[in-house]
Amino acid sequence: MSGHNEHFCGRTRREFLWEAAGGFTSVALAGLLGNTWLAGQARAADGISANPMHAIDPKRFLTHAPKAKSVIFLFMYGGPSQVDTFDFKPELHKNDGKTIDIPTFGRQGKRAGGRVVGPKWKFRPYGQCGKMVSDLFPHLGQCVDDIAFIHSMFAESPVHGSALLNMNTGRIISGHPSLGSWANYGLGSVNENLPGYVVMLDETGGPINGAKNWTSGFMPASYQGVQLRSEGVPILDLSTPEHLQGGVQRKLLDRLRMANQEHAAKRAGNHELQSRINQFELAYRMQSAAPEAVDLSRESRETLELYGLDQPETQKFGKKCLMARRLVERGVRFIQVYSGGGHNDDNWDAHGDLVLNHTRHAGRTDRPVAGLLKDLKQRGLLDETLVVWGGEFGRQPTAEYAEGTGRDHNSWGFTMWMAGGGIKGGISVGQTDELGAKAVQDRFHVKNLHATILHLMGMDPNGLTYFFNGLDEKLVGVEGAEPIRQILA
Amino acid sequence: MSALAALAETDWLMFIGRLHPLVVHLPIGMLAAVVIVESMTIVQKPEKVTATRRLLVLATAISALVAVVAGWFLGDEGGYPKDLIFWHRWLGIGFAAVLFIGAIIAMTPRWSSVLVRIAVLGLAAGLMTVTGHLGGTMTHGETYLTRYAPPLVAKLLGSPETQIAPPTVIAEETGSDAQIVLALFETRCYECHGATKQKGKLRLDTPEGIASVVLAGDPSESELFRRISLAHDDFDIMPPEGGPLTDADVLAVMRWIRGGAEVAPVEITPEVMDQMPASDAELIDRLKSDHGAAVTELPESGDLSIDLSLGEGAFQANQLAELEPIADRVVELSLAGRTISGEIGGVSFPHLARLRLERSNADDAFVKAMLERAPTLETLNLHSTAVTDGIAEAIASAATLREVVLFGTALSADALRSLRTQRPTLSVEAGEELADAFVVSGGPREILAADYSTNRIALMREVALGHPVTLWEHEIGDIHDLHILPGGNILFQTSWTQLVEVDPETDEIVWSYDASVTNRDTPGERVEVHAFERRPDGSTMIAESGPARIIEVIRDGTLLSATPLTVDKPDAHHDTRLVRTTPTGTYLVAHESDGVAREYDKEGNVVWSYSVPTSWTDPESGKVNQGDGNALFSAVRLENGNTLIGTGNGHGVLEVNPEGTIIWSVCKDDIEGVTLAWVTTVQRLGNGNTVIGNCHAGEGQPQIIEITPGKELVWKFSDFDRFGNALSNSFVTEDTHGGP
Repeated sequence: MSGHNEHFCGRTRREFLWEAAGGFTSVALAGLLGNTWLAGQARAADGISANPMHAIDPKRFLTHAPKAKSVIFLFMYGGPSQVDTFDFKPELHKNDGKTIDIPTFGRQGKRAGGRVVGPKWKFRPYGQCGKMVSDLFPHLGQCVDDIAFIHSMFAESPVHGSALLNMNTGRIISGHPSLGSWANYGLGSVNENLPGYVVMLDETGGPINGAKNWTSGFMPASYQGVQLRSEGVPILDLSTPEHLQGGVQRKLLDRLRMANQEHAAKRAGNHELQSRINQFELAYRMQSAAPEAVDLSRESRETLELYGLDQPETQKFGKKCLMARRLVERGVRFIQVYSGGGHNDDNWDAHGDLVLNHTRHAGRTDRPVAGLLKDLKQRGLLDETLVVWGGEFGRQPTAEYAEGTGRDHNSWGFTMWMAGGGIKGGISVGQTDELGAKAVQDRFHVKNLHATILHLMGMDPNGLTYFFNGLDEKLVGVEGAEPIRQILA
Repeated sequence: MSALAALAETDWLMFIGRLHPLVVHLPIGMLAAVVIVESMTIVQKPEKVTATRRLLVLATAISALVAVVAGWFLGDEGGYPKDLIFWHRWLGIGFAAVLFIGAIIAMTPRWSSVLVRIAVLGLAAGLMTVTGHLGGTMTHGETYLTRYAPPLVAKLLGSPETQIAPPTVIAEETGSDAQIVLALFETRCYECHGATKQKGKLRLDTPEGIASVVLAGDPSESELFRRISLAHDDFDIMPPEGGPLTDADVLAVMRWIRGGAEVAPVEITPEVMDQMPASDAELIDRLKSDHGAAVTELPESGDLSIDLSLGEGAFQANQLAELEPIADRVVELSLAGRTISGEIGGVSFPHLARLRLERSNADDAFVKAMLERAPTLETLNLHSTAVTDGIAEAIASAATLREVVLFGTALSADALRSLRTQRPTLSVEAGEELADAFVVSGGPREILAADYSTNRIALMREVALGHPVTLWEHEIGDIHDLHILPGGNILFQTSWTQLVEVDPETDEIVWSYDASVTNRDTPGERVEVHAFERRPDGSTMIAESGPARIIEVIRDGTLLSATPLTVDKPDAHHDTRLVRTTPTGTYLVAHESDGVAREYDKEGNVVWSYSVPTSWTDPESGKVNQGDGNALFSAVRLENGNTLIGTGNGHGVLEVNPEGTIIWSVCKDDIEGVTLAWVTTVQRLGNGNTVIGNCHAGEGQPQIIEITPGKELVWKFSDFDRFGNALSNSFVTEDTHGGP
């Protein structure tokens, strides 16, 4: 009789505490899930039907065997001059200094003509294919037999902000998912310990528009690019707080997982809940996986030198290129590395002194990029890794100002190149006019570039859709776009 | 204004509707209070509680009215099952009505007998219970109450005997719209339009039934599509319960109808929708969960790419046997970076094309075992593995293999060579290129130039055309010769008698020679040096003007040989200009004052000579070049045996053959935009172009030019900041990097 009254509400003290603690953990779970899982339950635009995202299985978009499992997009922010790098224009050299009539469209608006600035670098033939490459890229020149050059690119905007969005998201306005988001949305992530979409910025800062360039737009945030830093902590806000060091965090997560599993057990079939629980584990695993992925201490001296890590000039970009290779080895699907950031001559935006600007940026990237291609090749990775090089647009053959060598923006014609993953090497497609001002033959829109990348990843660029606001949205736009078939192996 | 405008724009009906779940609990609680007050009349005198009772019943009725009104608006938002909302609404209205009747009764003493009151209260309570249950069902779902209820209670509450299978997601994961749609029918339609029930005489589990509501190819003419795509609050929307179909599903139905409303898999069983045999699917799931594998199933072929590289810890090779049931579908397998242990076991991979073992600890035995099990292997990546020369044989005999990566392995150069010989079509990537990958010979052009008028010699790199960057510079006095030595040191002179060799990295003088002292028999004898050259054996050739001889000295200055020269018009300053050793070991000397190029053997015999004319006729254009003299500066023997001559004040360049015939020349004004002045050094490049020193030409004229054999100007050097009008000597590097 009396024994019964010893316990509060018929429970032992132990039972009470256990139940109370269990309940408290659920509160914590609710908090953790609050911004993410609950948001994931949000309704689609009609307000009633479930968010279509949750019904999509990535495999749906794989339409053929992928040639490229990973993509490394080397983004030359600011707009490298095509006529000083890979688009050899002897006529331009001959007309150096002459004022001619040639329409251009840059940040200064439309002009009818101007003073020709001849190519400031000598071109010479490289490789079996004899591709003419300027002296800005003596190392990269040695890789031309693996590269397909597209000389007839054109974009929709001749100003940085919108042109960057154009190149990264397919649109010149904000709010659309970037290429890397589409890739991960379409195919899913491979490595559960690392983000599927990584962005590495220049040490001088990010490009204009910042995170809009690696946004997931109207897709869930899990598809957005994660910034990986080459110095210090690789991913911000991921390190273990001091008071959770020494296994405390692991214990905490284990307890949380127990509570979560109990919570989930009663809600069998709730994939979103399960996936969110997995996300917390991912964050934990990333704490160790990310530093390992960027730890270059186990790379040989030869490898470090190959990427130019032994030279102050190439050390920073070289490190990012080497990190990119390590991420590819670890199954990261899309990696974007920026050369150039910030303003003016911190990036390829050579308005003032072309020689100073391009010498600087080519000098910093030539050896690392060539090193990346050679390293991928010798490790047997190049045939399944697509490397893309280019900026948001090119530059004009004429001078921007009365004096000097600076060139204004040019989205009417510029050069990009691709190598590896399903690309036919040693070829050049498309042509600009004889001064390199405008794409005139086999013109390719940015969309065609995007379509090529998606195609090489095993998807149909015109079938990769995301239902939003009543539209089957596509990276290549509602009109669609074809891949650049001439460069496919 | 804006606040008012905001108020005006507020959807008040919607707002009030949303208050329904809040206010709905008021009449419930208050009805309970009425019951309590009513039961108090059993123990209290009824008069004592009458006032309270009347007020409470009226308040309950009013609160019920508020709840009903709010509920009506909420119901208009739509999205609720139409049967439930219908009954919930009207029973709720009935509940409120009964309460108002109760209030009137309570106010009217002559009607207010205990029995009447209890009857009204009972009716209200009953209506409230049913209405409330319907509301709860709409909010929380049908099984909310019964799911965790004891079985007996659940049965009493009317829980269905058999649970309806939860909507499967299988259909969403597999390809075709037909499968999605048929699975959708199964989960959302069969309950009422299937084998057990045929509401509206419709069944959707037979092709005939489907055909009665679907016009293949035309969604807008299909009753089925019309009914599922109605507005969500439309009375006719299908399905009536469980919420409307998602947009994705409706779109799938639309596409399915457009595409012909194919119903091929009539027997709709899970097996039909699930293309992958259950055991394969389970196995693949287990690979993902137990081994962290990334498995890609290729469309159409169903081929599998299995990536086990991301798993943690050691990989037991015998685990590969687990793949046995799907082994014939595996075309790609990766164990990259894994620590592999144990034996593989009996499995084989008849269609494996790509095997990636890079960075793993795979050794010869493991790779051999895998090669035996993969008879169709095309690509094998072994970089940074433990394989040795012992694997070469197995690789060579793998007939289908097209590419093997052996970078970073212990395979010897011999083994690689023999592998390449045995299998010439096999691509063997071993990274040997790496060793000399980036020895960029030349690169951007480097220019060594000197001008005594500005007392400067400088080594420059032309980072961009017309943009030389100084790598090294040094102060000089007089100068007429300079060299970049094979090791990178610079050999030049700081006066007519002082020769120095400098390391440009440190600007340190590593060797020097004073011609006014060393090897001088006659003290005070006038001597000038206008040419010198480092020999391959490390000795130095020095042409002494004045004594008119060529000597060779070793590093400490010891005289090795002396060759006397023939000079018609002796002059310590003008005897010689450039002297170059020919490939045959003779000396080719430009005698400035004589206007003759003479070739000497070591003994001083003139073996060839050529008198430079003051004027000549260009063999190609027929143009006559009229020079101001024939004070040639340089004569260089070309690979083709001809001699290239910089004619000094002849203002041109001559290429003469051994017979002394001019076969190519550059006249004073042959080059557009350039007027040749005192032509000094001449250099024939590997690409056939000629570099010409154009001294004393004045500002506005290039100091150095490069022209093609067709005399087209392709490069020029013009720098009047570092140098002046007396840039006599220059040397440009052969920029040979790249090249076909």
